[in-house]
Amino acid sequence: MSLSKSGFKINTEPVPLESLRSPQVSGFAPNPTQVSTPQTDFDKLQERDSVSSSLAGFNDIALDDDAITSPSLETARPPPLNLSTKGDIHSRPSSRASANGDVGTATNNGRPHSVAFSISLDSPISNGKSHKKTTSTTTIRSSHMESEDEAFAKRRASVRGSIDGQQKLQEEFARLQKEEQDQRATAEGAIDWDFWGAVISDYPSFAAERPQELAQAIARGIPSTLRGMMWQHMAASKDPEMEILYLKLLKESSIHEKAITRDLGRTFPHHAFFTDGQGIGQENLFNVLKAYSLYDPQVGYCQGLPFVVAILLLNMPDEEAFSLLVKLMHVYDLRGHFLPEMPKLQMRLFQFDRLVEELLPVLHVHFLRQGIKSTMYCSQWFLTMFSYRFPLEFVVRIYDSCLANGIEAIFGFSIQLLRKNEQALLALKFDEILAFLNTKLLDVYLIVSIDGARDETPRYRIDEYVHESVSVPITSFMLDSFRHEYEDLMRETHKHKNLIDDLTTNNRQLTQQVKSLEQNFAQLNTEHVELLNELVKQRLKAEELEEELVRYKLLYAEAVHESEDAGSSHRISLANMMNGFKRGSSRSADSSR
Amino acid sequence: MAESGSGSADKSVQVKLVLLGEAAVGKSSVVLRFVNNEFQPNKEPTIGAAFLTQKCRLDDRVLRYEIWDTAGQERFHSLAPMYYRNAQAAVVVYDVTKASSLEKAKSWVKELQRQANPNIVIALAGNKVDLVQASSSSSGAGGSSESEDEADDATATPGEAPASPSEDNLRQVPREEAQAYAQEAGLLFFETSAKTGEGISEIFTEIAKKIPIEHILASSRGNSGRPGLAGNRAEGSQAQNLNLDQGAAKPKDACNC
Repeated sequence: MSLSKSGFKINTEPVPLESLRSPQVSGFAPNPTQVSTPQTDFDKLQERDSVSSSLAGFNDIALDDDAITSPSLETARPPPLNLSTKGDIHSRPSSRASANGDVGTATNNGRPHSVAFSISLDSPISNGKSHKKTTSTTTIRSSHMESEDEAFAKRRASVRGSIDGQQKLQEEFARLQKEEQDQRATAEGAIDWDFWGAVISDYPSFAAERPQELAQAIARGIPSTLRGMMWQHMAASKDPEMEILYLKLLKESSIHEKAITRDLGRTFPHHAFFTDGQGIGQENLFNVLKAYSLYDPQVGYCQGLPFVVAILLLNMPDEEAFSLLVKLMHVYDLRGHFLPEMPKLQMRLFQFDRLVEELLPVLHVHFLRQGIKSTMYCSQWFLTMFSYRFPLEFVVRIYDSCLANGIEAIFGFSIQLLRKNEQALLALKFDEILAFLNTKLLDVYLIVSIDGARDETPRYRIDEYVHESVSVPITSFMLDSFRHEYEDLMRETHKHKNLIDDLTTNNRQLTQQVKSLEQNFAQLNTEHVELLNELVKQRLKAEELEEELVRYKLLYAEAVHESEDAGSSHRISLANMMNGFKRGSSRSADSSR
Repeated sequence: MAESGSGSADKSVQVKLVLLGEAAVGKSSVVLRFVNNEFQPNKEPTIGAAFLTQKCRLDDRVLRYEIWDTAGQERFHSLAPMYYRNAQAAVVVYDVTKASSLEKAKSWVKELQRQANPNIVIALAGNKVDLVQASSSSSGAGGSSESEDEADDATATPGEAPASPSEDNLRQVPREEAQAYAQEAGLLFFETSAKTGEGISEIFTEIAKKIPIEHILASSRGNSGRPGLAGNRAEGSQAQNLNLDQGAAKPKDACNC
């Protein structure tokens, strides 16, 4: 038990290259041929079960049965590739790691000197022992991974076929080996193990000494078995402290848990690793997302992030995926894509728009006329680094490149998709363009078999795409100048906004002033009206008085006339009379008032 | 040429429609049901926005819905205005099993009434009613098909489903409450299930009835030089960049069909 546990632990570390290299395991290769008969083993295994295992017996038999062949399968194939080519489940790092561990354990056990290392179990035959160790490892592992591994085991069992005798086993090895080699030849081309071994063993110095060579090799594609390791090397993300922090964060609870849970089933729902239920994929996805939401509360949880994390989890265990995610967010600067308002996404979309304008001017105008904006199709490319809708074999190659060259590599991949499809896009209208951008962009890279019919599972000329994307003439100078343009634009907009803000506050103050002035005015107006009324009254009075005056003047003139007529000779008496009249008239005026 | 083009556009009236609502209430599923008559249990979240079109017949008219399906998460909110700015119709979706989603729907309605086209027709859709109807039928039916349904249901709202085992409690938004709100705010109201298809096509036919088609047509005729632009916005289209860009799609549409 403890042996297998320690085996398991070792495996969570990046698998040491030595354990992957073929020589060692090929040393083990003859071993299974020494199996006396599988039937004996089988009996012994059952025996062990009754003694040492409390796990469900029937299940164990199935697993044990499988385990007998498992070492042989592993040795039959060059180990580094052993599981990855078998299917989705197997490309999963955790199962790969532990399976590799199995190889290691089995290898040790198969050797005479390893007896001290093994727990004394009931079998006297070293051969049987070796298998038993493997079995227990498998059992323990399966108890950890449960259903995942059952499926895994079943699959193996079905691949394996009959185990009636040595002969058949050997045939099986040969067949699988051949199959494997064929597959490898077609799927990945020959892998230069010496080269990748040198890279992995000391990445920093290799990258410093032979950067050109390394870049070319990465552009050709990292072997899928080494991908997880290489990604971590390239990002320099392997950090035990971060992994400890991760484990600590797992124990805390996050306010985003509900939102994360809601999206778990909606991330790669058709991928075996992430199918709904108790799948280890979903569990890991939840853990990494939750831990990150705690690690970086400002980002918290954002839709789009699960797709990035899922791609990482397909290539490495969760604690390593977490460390790499932290690097991706902070060093590769993906973080700005997921912050509220998504500032970096806006900036990169601007840069992308300008790149289209520079590199594909005709298409740029066409898009402009049709009303196609980069936010309509490109934001999901950037936010998920193409993992939202693209086939995984494309996605991992894009990740290879981005992790090696920086996030800016994503521009090349985006532009190339448009460039390759430019003619087709130019013939389309608004809605057709959007549909095309969502579903048909990769069709130009489809491999059409000779008879013209497409394969059931589409295969693409990915190398061609990566090669063309890497050679899209995007310079950092261009990106920098576009960034400056964007920043200026933002500043302008900000300034504009500030100006508007200032004006708005100004306006508000002025409106206030106007209001108080209006009130003043209204008050003055009423006062004015009152005064006017007064004035009118006074005027009327003045007019009355004037009329009166005129009347009296007439009377006076008459009187003068009369007096001139009456006595021009009596001047003195006239004067007296005049005086008397004046007095009389003023008296009469007084009395008339 | 342009005239004949707009002539054919008369028969099929373009209606820009936007879907808004909280994350995971089923916006994309509603559209998918309407456009393809399909349902996918574990639909990926919409990142950014998605565009789909579907024709809808109403009497002798054909409406062509141009649908922008937006991302629900709050963080994508800043992208939403460019999609609803020129929309003539909006479907604001909430989840009948999640009370907070109605609150979010209300805030969308408020934003639309403040910022969007003043004549916009807004429909409020309470989605996932299949989850609350199962309670009445499940007691009788039981069966093997039921268990399959449950699996789907659980994935539709994985967060909530396990928390409330009794299906009776699943409903958090009473129909009456939402309906009263819709009436008060002047919205069309539906309860729908993208999974069963219930109420989905009704949303779009009712919107079609309520939308001022004559107005759209009149304004598009009045601007025959650029028939497409006129469809949505008679005036000020040049002033606003976005309007121009999005509308620019239409002259071609109109001419080519």
